[in-house]
Amino acid sequence: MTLLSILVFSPSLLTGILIVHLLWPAGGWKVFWVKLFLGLGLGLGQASLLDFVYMLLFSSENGFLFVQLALSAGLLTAALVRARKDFPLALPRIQPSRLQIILMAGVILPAVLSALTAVNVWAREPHGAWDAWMMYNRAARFIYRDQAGWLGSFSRQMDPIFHADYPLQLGMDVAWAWQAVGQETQRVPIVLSGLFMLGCAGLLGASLNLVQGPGQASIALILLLGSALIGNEGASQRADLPLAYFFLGTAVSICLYVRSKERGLLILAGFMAGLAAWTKNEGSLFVLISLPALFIAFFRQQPWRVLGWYVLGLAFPLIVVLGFKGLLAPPSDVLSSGLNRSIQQVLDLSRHLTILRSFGADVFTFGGWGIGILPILLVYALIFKLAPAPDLRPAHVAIGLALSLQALGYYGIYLITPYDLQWHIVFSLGRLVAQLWVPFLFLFFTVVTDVERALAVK
Amino acid sequence: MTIRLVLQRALLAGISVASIYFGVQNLRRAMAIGSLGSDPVTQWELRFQPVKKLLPFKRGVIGYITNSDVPGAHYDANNEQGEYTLTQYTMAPIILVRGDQPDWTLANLNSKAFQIWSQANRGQFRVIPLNDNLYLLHRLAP
Repeated sequence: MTLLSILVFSPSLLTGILIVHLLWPAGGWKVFWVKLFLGLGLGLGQASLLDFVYMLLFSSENGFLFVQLALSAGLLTAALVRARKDFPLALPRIQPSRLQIILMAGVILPAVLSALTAVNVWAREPHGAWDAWMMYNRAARFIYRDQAGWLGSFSRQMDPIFHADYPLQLGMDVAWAWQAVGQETQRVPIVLSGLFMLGCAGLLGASLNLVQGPGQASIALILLLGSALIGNEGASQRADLPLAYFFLGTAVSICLYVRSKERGLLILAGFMAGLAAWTKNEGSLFVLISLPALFIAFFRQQPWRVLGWYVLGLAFPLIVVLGFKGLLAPPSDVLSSGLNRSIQQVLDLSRHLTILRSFGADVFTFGGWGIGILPILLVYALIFKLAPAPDLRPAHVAIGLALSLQALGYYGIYLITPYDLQWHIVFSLGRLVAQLWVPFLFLFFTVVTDVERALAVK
Repeated sequence: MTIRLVLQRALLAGISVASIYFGVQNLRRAMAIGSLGSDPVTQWELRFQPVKKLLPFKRGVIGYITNSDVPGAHYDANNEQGEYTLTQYTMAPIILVRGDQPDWTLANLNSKAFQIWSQANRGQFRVIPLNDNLYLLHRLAP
Protein backbone atom coordinates (compact mmCIF):
# COMPACT_ATOMS: atom_id res chain seq x y z
CA MET A 1 0.00 0.00 0.00
CA THR A 2 2.94 2.36 0.66
CA LEU A 3 4.23 1.85 -2.89
CA LEU A 4 0.75 2.40 -4.32
CA SER A 5 0.41 5.57 -2.22
CA ILE A 6 3.68 6.83 -3.70
CA LEU A 7 2.78 5.80 -7.25
CA VAL A 8 -0.59 7.51 -7.11
CA PHE A 9 1.10 10.89 -6.75
CA SER A 10 3.64 10.28 -9.54
CA PRO A 11 1.54 11.73 -12.44
CA SER A 12 0.98 14.88 -10.37
CA LEU A 13 4.68 15.18 -9.56
CA LEU A 14 5.60 14.72 -13.22
CA THR A 15 3.01 17.35 -14.16
CA GLY A 16 4.54 19.80 -11.69
CA ILE A 17 8.09 19.20 -12.91
CA LEU A 18 7.02 19.62 -16.54
CA ILE A 19 5.13 22.86 -15.80
CA VAL A 20 8.29 24.24 -14.17
CA HIS A 21 10.38 23.04 -17.13
CA LEU A 22 8.05 24.61 -19.70
CA LEU A 23 7.95 27.92 -17.86
CA TRP A 24 11.71 27.94 -17.23
CA PRO A 25 13.48 26.22 -20.10
CA ALA A 26 17.05 26.63 -18.79
CA GLY A 27 19.21 23.50 -18.89
CA GLY A 28 22.01 21.92 -16.85
CA TRP A 29 22.14 19.56 -13.89
CA LYS A 30 22.07 22.23 -11.18
CA VAL A 31 18.93 23.67 -12.79
CA PHE A 32 17.46 20.17 -13.15
CA TRP A 33 17.53 19.59 -9.39
CA VAL A 34 15.81 22.93 -8.73
CA LYS A 35 13.15 22.06 -11.31
CA LEU A 36 12.65 18.66 -9.71
CA PHE A 37 12.06 20.05 -6.22
CA LEU A 38 10.05 23.08 -7.39
CA GLY A 39 7.94 20.76 -9.51
CA LEU A 40 7.32 18.39 -6.64
CA GLY A 41 5.31 20.89 -4.58
CA LEU A 42 3.81 22.54 -7.62
CA GLY A 43 2.58 19.13 -8.79
CA LEU A 44 0.91 18.39 -5.46
CA GLY A 45 -0.54 21.91 -5.43
CA GLN A 46 -2.00 21.83 -8.93
CA ALA A 47 -3.52 18.40 -8.25
CA SER A 48 -5.27 19.71 -5.15
CA LEU A 49 -6.59 22.80 -6.96
CA LEU A 50 -7.78 20.83 -9.99
CA ASP A 51 -9.40 18.17 -7.82
CA PHE A 52 -11.36 20.91 -6.06
CA VAL A 53 -12.67 22.09 -9.46
CA TYR A 54 -13.22 18.46 -10.55
CA MET A 55 -15.26 17.74 -7.42
CA LEU A 56 -17.41 20.82 -8.02
CA LEU A 57 -18.22 19.49 -11.51
CA PHE A 58 -18.20 15.69 -11.15
CA SER A 59 -18.49 14.87 -7.46
CA SER A 60 -19.92 11.41 -8.15
CA GLU A 61 -17.09 10.40 -10.48
CA ASN A 62 -13.84 8.74 -9.49
CA GLY A 63 -11.70 9.67 -12.46
CA PHE A 64 -9.39 12.39 -11.18
CA LEU A 65 -6.32 10.18 -11.51
CA PHE A 66 -7.01 10.00 -15.25
CA VAL A 67 -7.13 13.81 -15.39
CA GLN A 68 -3.66 13.86 -13.87
CA LEU A 69 -2.41 11.12 -16.20
CA ALA A 70 -3.77 12.96 -19.26
CA LEU A 71 -2.28 16.26 -18.08
CA SER A 72 1.15 14.76 -17.45
CA ALA A 73 1.08 12.96 -20.83
CA GLY A 74 0.14 16.18 -22.64
CA LEU A 75 2.84 18.19 -20.90
CA LEU A 76 5.41 15.46 -21.52
CA THR A 77 4.59 15.53 -25.22
CA ALA A 78 4.96 19.32 -25.29
CA ALA A 79 8.30 19.12 -23.47
CA LEU A 80 9.61 16.40 -25.80
CA VAL A 81 8.57 18.31 -28.93
CA ARG A 82 10.39 21.37 -27.64
CA ALA A 83 13.47 19.41 -26.59
CA ARG A 84 13.77 17.47 -29.90
CA LYS A 85 16.40 19.76 -31.35
CA ASP A 86 18.66 19.96 -28.42
CA PHE A 87 18.38 17.47 -25.58
CA PRO A 88 19.32 19.56 -22.59
CA LEU A 89 20.92 17.06 -20.23
CA ALA A 90 24.38 15.61 -20.67
CA LEU A 91 25.98 13.61 -17.88
CA PRO A 92 28.01 16.05 -15.78
CA ARG A 93 31.67 15.69 -14.99
CA ILE A 94 31.58 16.13 -11.25
CA GLN A 95 34.93 16.87 -9.67
CA PRO A 96 34.12 18.14 -6.20
CA SER A 97 36.86 19.76 -4.17
CA ARG A 98 37.99 18.28 -0.84
CA LEU A 99 36.05 20.95 1.03
CA GLN A 100 32.92 20.24 -0.98
CA ILE A 101 33.21 16.52 -0.22
CA ILE A 102 33.62 17.21 3.51
CA LEU A 103 30.65 19.57 3.60
CA MET A 104 28.39 17.33 1.53
CA ALA A 105 29.34 14.34 3.70
CA GLY A 106 28.32 16.44 6.70
CA VAL A 107 24.74 16.44 5.40
CA ILE A 108 24.44 12.65 5.33
CA LEU A 109 24.16 11.93 9.06
CA PRO A 110 21.61 14.72 9.83
CA ALA A 111 19.60 13.52 6.81
CA VAL A 112 19.61 9.92 8.04
CA LEU A 113 18.63 11.05 11.56
CA SER A 114 15.78 13.18 10.13
CA ALA A 115 14.53 10.23 8.09
CA LEU A 116 14.65 7.90 11.12
CA THR A 117 12.82 10.52 13.19
CA ALA A 118 10.10 10.84 10.55
CA VAL A 119 9.65 7.07 10.30
CA ASN A 120 9.24 6.90 14.08
CA VAL A 121 6.67 9.70 14.11
CA TRP A 122 4.71 8.03 11.30
CA ALA A 123 4.81 4.62 13.01
CA ARG A 124 3.66 6.00 16.35
CA GLU A 125 1.18 8.60 15.12
CA PRO A 126 -0.15 7.30 11.78
CA HIS A 127 -3.06 9.75 11.88
CA GLY A 128 -0.66 12.63 12.51
CA ALA A 129 -0.47 15.17 15.31
CA TRP A 130 -3.59 16.70 16.89
CA ASP A 131 -4.09 19.48 14.33
CA ALA A 132 -3.41 17.11 11.46
CA TRP A 133 -6.23 14.70 12.21
CA MET A 134 -8.54 17.36 13.60
CA MET A 135 -8.33 19.61 10.54
CA TYR A 136 -6.61 18.25 7.45
CA ASN A 137 -7.23 14.49 7.65
CA ARG A 138 -10.72 15.18 9.01
CA ALA A 139 -11.44 17.37 5.97
CA ALA A 140 -10.14 14.59 3.70
CA ARG A 141 -12.47 12.08 5.39
CA PHE A 142 -15.47 14.39 4.96
CA ILE A 143 -14.70 14.67 1.24
CA TYR A 144 -13.82 11.02 0.60
CA ARG A 145 -16.43 9.23 2.69
CA ASP A 146 -19.41 10.85 0.97
CA GLN A 147 -18.20 12.21 -2.34
CA ALA A 148 -21.63 13.06 -3.70
CA GLY A 149 -22.46 15.13 -0.61
CA TRP A 150 -18.95 16.53 -0.09
CA LEU A 151 -20.13 20.15 -0.02
CA GLY A 152 -21.79 19.33 3.32
CA SER A 153 -18.24 19.28 4.73
CA PHE A 154 -18.39 23.06 5.03
CA SER A 155 -21.63 23.20 6.98
CA ARG A 156 -22.07 26.14 9.35
CA GLN A 157 -23.18 23.55 11.92
CA MET A 158 -19.66 22.24 12.25
CA ASP A 159 -18.04 23.38 15.51
CA PRO A 160 -15.58 26.25 14.68
CA ILE A 161 -12.79 24.41 16.53
CA PHE A 162 -12.56 22.04 13.53
CA HIS A 163 -11.77 24.96 11.19
CA ALA A 164 -13.91 23.91 8.24
CA ASP A 165 -12.88 27.29 6.77
CA TYR A 166 -9.25 26.17 6.39
CA PRO A 167 -7.97 25.92 2.79
CA LEU A 168 -8.00 22.44 1.29
CA GLN A 169 -4.52 21.85 -0.15
CA LEU A 170 -3.78 18.81 2.03
CA GLY A 171 -7.39 17.64 2.39
CA MET A 172 -8.05 17.50 -1.37
CA ASP A 173 -4.72 15.76 -2.12
CA VAL A 174 -5.40 13.10 0.50
CA ALA A 175 -9.03 12.65 -0.59
CA TRP A 176 -8.33 12.19 -4.32
CA ALA A 177 -5.44 9.84 -3.60
CA TRP A 178 -7.75 7.73 -1.41
CA GLN A 179 -10.25 7.69 -4.27
CA ALA A 180 -7.51 6.60 -6.67
CA VAL A 181 -6.08 3.81 -4.51
CA GLY A 182 -9.62 2.72 -3.58
CA GLN A 183 -9.28 2.76 0.19
CA GLU A 184 -8.80 5.09 3.12
CA THR A 185 -5.24 4.30 4.11
CA GLN A 186 -3.07 6.44 6.39
CA ARG A 187 -0.15 5.71 4.06
CA VAL A 188 -1.49 8.45 1.75
CA PRO A 189 -1.19 11.42 4.16
CA ILE A 190 2.09 9.92 5.40
CA VAL A 191 3.50 9.83 1.86
CA LEU A 192 2.17 13.34 1.24
CA SER A 193 3.97 14.67 4.32
CA GLY A 194 7.11 12.82 3.24
CA LEU A 195 6.99 14.44 -0.19
CA PHE A 196 6.76 17.91 1.35
CA MET A 197 9.67 17.10 3.69
CA LEU A 198 11.75 15.95 0.74
CA GLY A 199 10.61 18.94 -1.32
CA CYS A 200 11.48 21.45 1.39
CA ALA A 201 14.98 20.14 2.11
CA GLY A 202 15.61 19.38 -1.56
CA LEU A 203 14.53 22.79 -2.79
CA LEU A 204 16.63 24.60 -0.18
CA GLY A 205 19.69 22.54 -1.10
CA ALA A 206 19.19 22.61 -4.88
CA SER A 207 18.45 26.33 -5.07
CA LEU A 208 21.46 27.31 -2.92
CA ASN A 209 23.61 24.90 -4.94
CA LEU A 210 22.54 26.81 -8.07
CA VAL A 211 22.72 30.35 -6.69
CA GLN A 212 25.85 29.93 -4.51
CA GLY A 213 27.46 26.48 -4.57
CA PRO A 214 27.37 23.00 -3.02
CA GLY A 215 29.22 24.13 0.10
CA GLN A 216 26.71 26.82 0.95
CA ALA A 217 23.84 24.41 0.20
CA SER A 218 25.38 21.82 2.51
CA ILE A 219 25.68 24.20 5.48
CA ALA A 220 22.07 25.31 5.06
CA LEU A 221 20.92 21.70 4.93
CA ILE A 222 22.97 20.75 7.99
CA LEU A 223 21.20 23.55 9.90
CA LEU A 224 17.75 22.68 8.54
CA LEU A 225 18.01 18.94 9.14
CA GLY A 226 19.40 19.44 12.63
CA SER A 227 16.29 21.34 13.67
CA ALA A 228 13.03 19.57 14.47
CA LEU A 229 11.28 21.12 11.46
CA ILE A 230 11.83 18.35 8.92
CA GLY A 231 11.85 15.08 10.87
CA ASN A 232 9.41 15.89 13.68
CA GLU A 233 7.18 18.71 12.43
CA GLY A 234 7.20 17.57 8.80
CA ALA A 235 6.12 14.04 9.68
CA SER A 236 3.29 15.29 11.90
CA GLN A 237 1.10 15.77 8.78
CA ARG A 238 0.29 19.38 9.75
CA ALA A 239 0.26 22.10 7.08
CA ASP A 240 3.11 24.23 8.43
CA LEU A 241 5.92 22.52 6.54
CA PRO A 242 3.98 22.54 3.23
CA LEU A 243 3.34 26.23 3.85
CA ALA A 244 7.04 26.82 4.52
CA TYR A 245 7.74 24.94 1.28
CA PHE A 246 5.49 27.27 -0.74
CA PHE A 247 7.01 30.36 0.92
CA LEU A 248 10.43 28.98 -0.04
CA GLY A 249 9.23 28.17 -3.58
CA THR A 250 8.07 31.77 -4.00
CA ALA A 251 11.36 33.15 -2.66
CA VAL A 252 13.49 30.84 -4.84
CA SER A 253 11.49 31.66 -7.99
CA ILE A 254 11.84 35.40 -7.37
CA CYS A 255 15.58 35.03 -6.79
CA LEU A 256 16.02 32.96 -9.95
CA TYR A 257 13.99 35.50 -11.93
CA VAL A 258 16.37 38.24 -10.79
CA ARG A 259 19.32 36.11 -11.97
CA SER A 260 17.91 35.07 -15.33
CA LYS A 261 15.11 37.54 -16.16
CA GLU A 262 12.99 34.58 -17.32
CA ARG A 263 9.45 35.86 -16.78
CA GLY A 264 8.17 32.27 -16.48
CA LEU A 265 9.85 32.27 -13.07
CA LEU A 266 7.64 35.16 -11.96
CA ILE A 267 4.60 33.15 -13.04
CA LEU A 268 5.96 30.28 -10.95
CA ALA A 269 6.52 32.60 -7.99
CA GLY A 270 2.92 33.79 -8.19
CA PHE A 271 1.63 30.22 -8.48
CA MET A 272 3.66 29.16 -5.45
CA ALA A 273 2.32 32.10 -3.41
CA GLY A 274 -1.21 31.17 -4.48
CA LEU A 275 -0.60 27.60 -3.35
CA ALA A 276 0.51 28.96 0.03
CA ALA A 277 -2.93 30.60 0.30
CA TRP A 278 -4.51 27.24 -0.64
CA THR A 279 -2.52 25.55 2.16
CA LYS A 280 -3.20 27.73 5.22
CA ASN A 281 -4.84 31.05 6.02
CA GLU A 282 -1.39 32.49 6.71
CA GLY A 283 -0.74 31.97 3.00
CA SER A 284 -3.44 34.50 2.12
CA LEU A 285 -1.59 37.04 4.24
CA PHE A 286 1.59 36.12 2.33
CA VAL A 287 -0.16 36.79 -1.00
CA LEU A 288 -1.26 40.22 0.23
CA ILE A 289 2.13 41.30 1.54
CA SER A 290 4.09 39.85 -1.39
CA LEU A 291 2.54 42.40 -3.77
CA PRO A 292 3.91 45.56 -2.09
CA ALA A 293 7.17 43.71 -1.34
CA LEU A 294 7.66 43.00 -5.06
CA PHE A 295 6.60 46.51 -6.05
CA ILE A 296 9.15 48.09 -3.72
CA ALA A 297 11.93 45.62 -4.62
CA PHE A 298 11.49 46.16 -8.36
CA PHE A 299 10.65 49.86 -8.11
CA ARG A 300 13.44 50.76 -10.56
CA GLN A 301 12.84 47.79 -12.88
CA GLN A 302 9.34 48.09 -14.31
CA PRO A 303 7.47 47.04 -11.16
CA TRP A 304 4.08 46.85 -12.91
CA ARG A 305 5.41 44.37 -15.44
CA VAL A 306 6.92 42.24 -12.66
CA LEU A 307 3.64 42.36 -10.76
CA GLY A 308 1.72 41.53 -13.94
CA TRP A 309 3.57 38.24 -14.51
CA TYR A 310 3.42 37.43 -10.79
CA VAL A 311 -0.35 38.01 -10.68
CA LEU A 312 -0.74 35.87 -13.81
CA GLY A 313 0.74 32.94 -11.88
CA LEU A 314 -1.27 33.83 -8.81
CA ALA A 315 -4.60 34.05 -10.64
CA PHE A 316 -5.76 30.42 -10.79
CA PRO A 317 -4.97 29.40 -7.19
CA LEU A 318 -6.28 32.73 -5.90
CA ILE A 319 -9.58 32.36 -7.80
CA VAL A 320 -10.00 28.91 -6.24
CA VAL A 321 -9.14 30.21 -2.76
CA LEU A 322 -11.51 33.18 -3.10
CA GLY A 323 -14.24 30.94 -4.49
CA PHE A 324 -13.82 28.52 -1.62
CA LYS A 325 -13.72 31.26 1.01
CA GLY A 326 -16.54 33.28 -0.49
CA LEU A 327 -18.98 30.55 -1.46
CA LEU A 328 -18.31 27.48 0.65
CA ALA A 329 -16.25 28.02 3.77
CA PRO A 330 -17.82 29.04 7.08
CA PRO A 331 -16.48 32.32 8.56
CA SER A 332 -12.99 32.29 10.07
CA ASP A 333 -12.85 32.41 13.86
CA VAL A 334 -9.61 34.43 14.08
CA LEU A 335 -11.29 37.56 12.71
CA SER A 336 -14.45 37.10 14.76
CA SER A 337 -13.68 39.59 17.56
CA GLY A 338 -15.62 42.43 15.93
CA LEU A 339 -14.28 45.90 15.19
CA ASN A 340 -14.79 47.48 18.61
CA ARG A 341 -13.16 44.65 20.53
CA SER A 342 -10.32 44.44 18.01
CA ILE A 343 -9.58 48.17 18.45
CA GLN A 344 -9.62 47.77 22.23
CA GLN A 345 -7.20 44.87 21.96
CA VAL A 346 -4.88 46.81 19.62
CA LEU A 347 -4.78 49.70 22.13
CA ASP A 348 -3.98 47.39 25.04
CA LEU A 349 -0.26 47.91 25.75
CA SER A 350 0.03 44.74 27.82
CA ARG A 351 -0.90 42.65 24.77
CA HIS A 352 1.92 44.27 22.77
CA LEU A 353 4.39 43.49 25.55
CA THR A 354 3.22 39.88 25.84
CA ILE A 355 3.51 39.34 22.08
CA LEU A 356 6.91 41.04 21.83
CA ARG A 357 8.29 39.01 24.73
CA SER A 358 7.03 35.79 23.17
CA PHE A 359 8.32 36.71 19.69
CA GLY A 360 11.74 37.50 21.18
CA ALA A 361 11.85 34.29 23.18
CA ASP A 362 10.70 32.10 20.27
CA VAL A 363 12.88 33.67 17.61
CA PHE A 364 15.97 33.42 19.79
CA THR A 365 15.35 29.86 20.98
CA PHE A 366 13.91 28.44 17.77
CA GLY A 367 15.28 25.15 16.54
CA GLY A 368 15.58 23.34 19.85
CA TRP A 369 19.35 23.90 19.98
CA GLY A 370 19.31 25.44 23.45
CA ILE A 371 20.73 28.85 22.53
CA GLY A 372 18.65 29.07 19.33
CA ILE A 373 19.74 28.83 15.73
CA LEU A 374 19.23 32.54 15.02
CA PRO A 375 21.98 33.69 17.42
CA ILE A 376 24.20 31.05 15.81
CA LEU A 377 23.46 32.60 12.42
CA LEU A 378 24.31 36.04 13.79
CA VAL A 379 27.71 34.72 14.87
CA TYR A 380 28.04 33.00 11.49
CA ALA A 381 27.36 36.29 9.70
CA LEU A 382 29.96 38.07 11.85
CA ILE A 383 32.63 35.47 11.19
CA PHE A 384 31.93 34.83 7.52
CA LYS A 385 30.79 38.40 6.72
CA LEU A 386 27.89 39.40 4.53
CA ALA A 387 28.58 39.56 0.80
CA PRO A 388 25.28 40.09 -1.03
CA ALA A 389 25.70 40.04 -4.80
CA PRO A 390 24.62 43.46 -6.13
CA ASP A 391 22.70 41.87 -9.01
CA LEU A 392 20.56 39.89 -6.53
CA ARG A 393 19.59 43.02 -4.59
CA PRO A 394 15.94 43.15 -5.77
CA ALA A 395 15.50 39.50 -4.73
CA HIS A 396 17.02 40.13 -1.30
CA VAL A 397 14.78 43.18 -0.80
CA ALA A 398 11.64 41.33 -1.98
CA ILE A 399 12.24 38.23 0.16
CA GLY A 400 13.42 40.21 3.20
CA LEU A 401 10.45 42.54 3.00
CA ALA A 402 7.98 39.70 2.48
CA LEU A 403 9.28 37.77 5.50
CA SER A 404 9.32 40.91 7.69
CA LEU A 405 5.79 41.91 6.68
CA GLN A 406 4.59 38.35 7.20
CA ALA A 407 6.02 38.37 10.75
CA LEU A 408 4.34 41.76 11.29
CA GLY A 409 1.07 40.25 10.07
CA TYR A 410 1.38 37.42 12.62
CA TYR A 411 1.93 40.09 15.27
CA GLY A 412 -1.27 41.81 14.17
CA ILE A 413 -3.26 38.57 14.26
CA TYR A 414 -2.17 37.96 17.85
CA LEU A 415 -3.28 41.48 18.72
CA ILE A 416 -6.86 40.88 17.55
CA THR A 417 -7.23 37.17 18.27
CA PRO A 418 -10.54 36.29 19.95
CA TYR A 419 -8.76 33.56 21.94
CA ASP A 420 -6.84 33.88 25.18
CA LEU A 421 -3.62 35.52 24.00
CA GLN A 422 -1.20 33.43 26.05
CA TRP A 423 -2.90 30.20 25.00
CA HIS A 424 -2.89 31.24 21.33
CA ILE A 425 0.81 32.15 21.46
CA VAL A 426 1.85 28.95 23.22
CA PHE A 427 -0.25 26.91 20.82
CA SER A 428 0.93 28.44 17.55
CA LEU A 429 3.93 30.79 17.66
CA GLY A 430 6.60 28.09 17.33
CA ARG A 431 4.98 26.85 14.14
CA LEU A 432 4.61 30.37 12.73
CA VAL A 433 8.33 30.95 13.24
CA ALA A 434 8.98 27.57 11.60
CA GLN A 435 7.01 28.65 8.51
CA LEU A 436 9.40 31.57 7.99
CA TRP A 437 12.52 29.65 8.97
CA VAL A 438 13.15 27.83 5.66
CA PRO A 439 12.81 30.87 3.34
CA PHE A 440 14.87 32.82 5.87
CA LEU A 441 17.65 30.21 5.64
CA PHE A 442 17.58 30.60 1.85
CA LEU A 443 17.80 34.39 2.13
CA PHE A 444 20.56 34.20 4.73
CA PHE A 445 22.77 31.87 2.70
CA THR A 446 22.38 33.94 -0.46
CA VAL A 447 23.51 37.04 1.46
CA VAL A 448 26.38 35.65 3.54
CA THR A 449 29.80 34.95 1.96
CA ASP A 450 29.95 31.59 0.20
CA VAL A 451 31.69 29.14 2.52
CA GLU A 452 33.94 27.77 -0.24
CA ARG A 453 35.10 31.23 -1.27
CA ALA A 454 35.69 32.23 2.36
CA LEU A 455 37.84 29.19 3.12
CA ALA A 456 39.67 29.25 -0.22
CA VAL A 457 40.87 32.86 0.03
CA LYS A 458 43.22 32.20 2.91
CA MET B 1 46.35 30.48 9.16
CA THR B 2 44.46 33.60 10.27
CA ILE B 3 42.25 33.83 13.36
CA ARG B 4 39.24 34.33 11.13
CA LEU B 5 39.97 31.10 9.28
CA VAL B 6 40.31 29.21 12.57
CA LEU B 7 37.02 30.70 13.76
CA GLN B 8 35.31 29.80 10.49
CA ARG B 9 36.47 26.19 10.63
CA ALA B 10 35.58 25.90 14.31
CA LEU B 11 32.10 27.30 13.66
CA LEU B 12 31.47 24.89 10.77
CA ALA B 13 32.64 21.97 12.89
CA GLY B 14 30.47 23.16 15.78
CA ILE B 15 27.40 23.48 13.57
CA SER B 16 27.95 20.00 12.14
CA VAL B 17 28.38 18.41 15.57
CA ALA B 18 25.37 20.33 16.96
CA SER B 19 23.23 19.25 14.02
CA ILE B 20 24.06 15.59 14.66
CA TYR B 21 23.65 15.90 18.43
CA PHE B 22 20.24 17.61 18.16
CA GLY B 23 19.25 15.24 15.35
CA VAL B 24 19.74 12.40 17.84
CA GLN B 25 17.69 14.34 20.43
CA ASN B 26 14.91 14.83 17.86
CA LEU B 27 14.96 11.10 17.15
CA ARG B 28 14.74 10.29 20.86
CA ARG B 29 11.83 12.71 21.17
CA ALA B 30 10.05 10.94 18.32
CA MET B 31 10.66 7.57 19.95
CA ALA B 32 9.05 8.85 23.13
CA ILE B 33 5.71 9.49 21.40
CA GLY B 34 3.26 6.81 22.54
CA SER B 35 4.25 3.31 21.55
CA LEU B 36 4.35 1.25 18.39
CA GLY B 37 1.14 -0.61 17.62
CA SER B 38 -1.15 1.13 20.09
CA ASP B 39 -2.07 4.41 18.49
CA PRO B 40 -4.85 6.05 20.57
CA VAL B 41 -6.64 7.46 17.51
CA THR B 42 -6.93 4.00 15.94
CA GLN B 43 -8.19 2.57 19.24
CA TRP B 44 -10.76 5.35 19.49
CA GLU B 45 -11.96 4.55 15.97
CA LEU B 46 -12.59 0.90 16.88
CA ARG B 47 -14.72 2.02 19.82
CA PHE B 48 -17.08 3.94 17.52
CA GLN B 49 -17.49 1.38 14.74
CA PRO B 50 -20.87 0.10 16.08
CA VAL B 51 -22.33 3.62 16.26
CA LYS B 52 -21.75 4.24 12.54
CA LYS B 53 -23.46 0.97 11.65
CA LEU B 54 -26.56 1.79 13.70
CA LEU B 55 -27.17 5.30 12.35
CA PRO B 56 -29.74 5.36 9.51
CA PHE B 57 -27.78 7.93 7.43
CA LYS B 58 -24.19 8.41 6.19
CA ARG B 59 -24.09 12.20 6.31
CA GLY B 60 -26.02 14.46 8.62
CA VAL B 61 -26.00 16.00 12.07
CA ILE B 62 -26.18 14.18 15.39
CA GLY B 63 -25.96 15.43 18.95
CA TYR B 64 -23.09 14.62 21.29
CA ILE B 65 -23.27 14.64 25.08
CA THR B 66 -20.72 13.71 27.70
CA ASN B 67 -20.41 13.83 31.47
CA SER B 68 -20.03 17.61 31.38
CA ASP B 69 -23.57 17.93 29.96
CA VAL B 70 -25.03 16.08 32.93
CA PRO B 71 -25.47 18.26 36.04
CA GLY B 72 -23.87 16.59 39.02
CA ALA B 73 -21.59 14.25 37.05
CA HIS B 74 -17.81 14.46 37.41
CA TYR B 75 -15.69 15.20 34.34
CA ASP B 76 -12.21 16.24 33.20
CA ALA B 77 -12.46 19.30 30.92
CA ASN B 78 -9.25 18.49 28.99
CA ASN B 79 -10.31 14.90 28.34
CA GLU B 80 -13.76 16.02 27.27
CA GLN B 81 -12.37 18.36 24.60
CA GLY B 82 -9.94 15.74 23.33
CA GLU B 83 -12.62 13.05 23.17
CA TYR B 84 -15.02 15.38 21.36
CA THR B 85 -12.49 16.19 18.63
CA LEU B 86 -11.47 12.53 18.30
CA THR B 87 -15.11 11.50 18.02
CA GLN B 88 -15.76 14.06 15.28
CA TYR B 89 -12.73 12.77 13.37
CA THR B 90 -13.96 9.21 13.79
CA MET B 91 -17.59 9.89 12.86
CA ALA B 92 -16.86 11.94 9.69
CA PRO B 93 -18.80 12.76 7.53
CA ILE B 94 -21.42 12.91 10.29
CA ILE B 95 -21.33 16.34 11.98
CA LEU B 96 -21.43 16.35 15.78
CA VAL B 97 -23.11 19.23 17.59
CA ARG B 98 -22.93 19.59 21.35
CA GLY B 99 -26.21 18.77 23.12
CA ASP B 100 -29.10 16.38 22.56
CA GLN B 101 -31.34 18.50 20.31
CA PRO B 102 -31.01 16.49 17.04
CA ASP B 103 -33.09 13.35 16.43
CA TRP B 104 -30.04 11.17 17.08
CA THR B 105 -27.51 11.77 19.83
CA LEU B 106 -24.34 9.98 20.77
CA ALA B 107 -23.83 9.83 24.54
CA ASN B 108 -20.34 9.21 25.87
CA LEU B 109 -21.21 8.85 29.58
CA ASN B 110 -19.82 6.85 32.45
CA SER B 111 -22.35 4.71 34.33
CA LYS B 112 -22.96 7.27 37.09
CA ALA B 113 -23.53 10.09 34.58
CA PHE B 114 -25.81 7.88 32.48
CA GLN B 115 -27.87 7.05 35.58
CA ILE B 116 -28.38 10.75 36.36
CA TRP B 117 -29.11 11.58 32.73
CA SER B 118 -31.65 8.75 32.22
CA GLN B 119 -33.57 9.77 35.35
CA ALA B 120 -33.80 13.34 34.09
CA ASN B 121 -34.83 12.34 30.53
CA ARG B 122 -37.14 9.41 31.16
CA GLY B 123 -39.42 8.65 28.19
CA GLN B 124 -37.88 11.18 25.86
CA PHE B 125 -35.37 8.93 24.07
CA ARG B 126 -35.01 5.38 22.89
CA VAL B 127 -31.66 4.32 24.35
CA ILE B 128 -29.43 1.87 22.45
CA PRO B 129 -26.63 0.83 24.81
CA LEU B 130 -23.30 0.11 23.13
CA ASN B 131 -19.92 -1.06 24.40
CA ASP B 132 -17.57 0.95 26.56
CA ASN B 133 -19.87 3.67 28.04
CA LEU B 134 -21.41 4.64 24.72
CA TYR B 135 -25.14 5.05 24.12
CA LEU B 136 -27.00 5.97 20.96
CA LEU B 137 -30.11 8.00 21.77
CA HIS B 138 -33.04 8.38 19.40
CA ARG B 139 -35.43 11.15 20.31
CA LEU B 140 -39.00 9.89 20.56
CA ALA B 141 -41.74 11.82 18.81
CA PRO B 142 -43.39 14.29 21.25
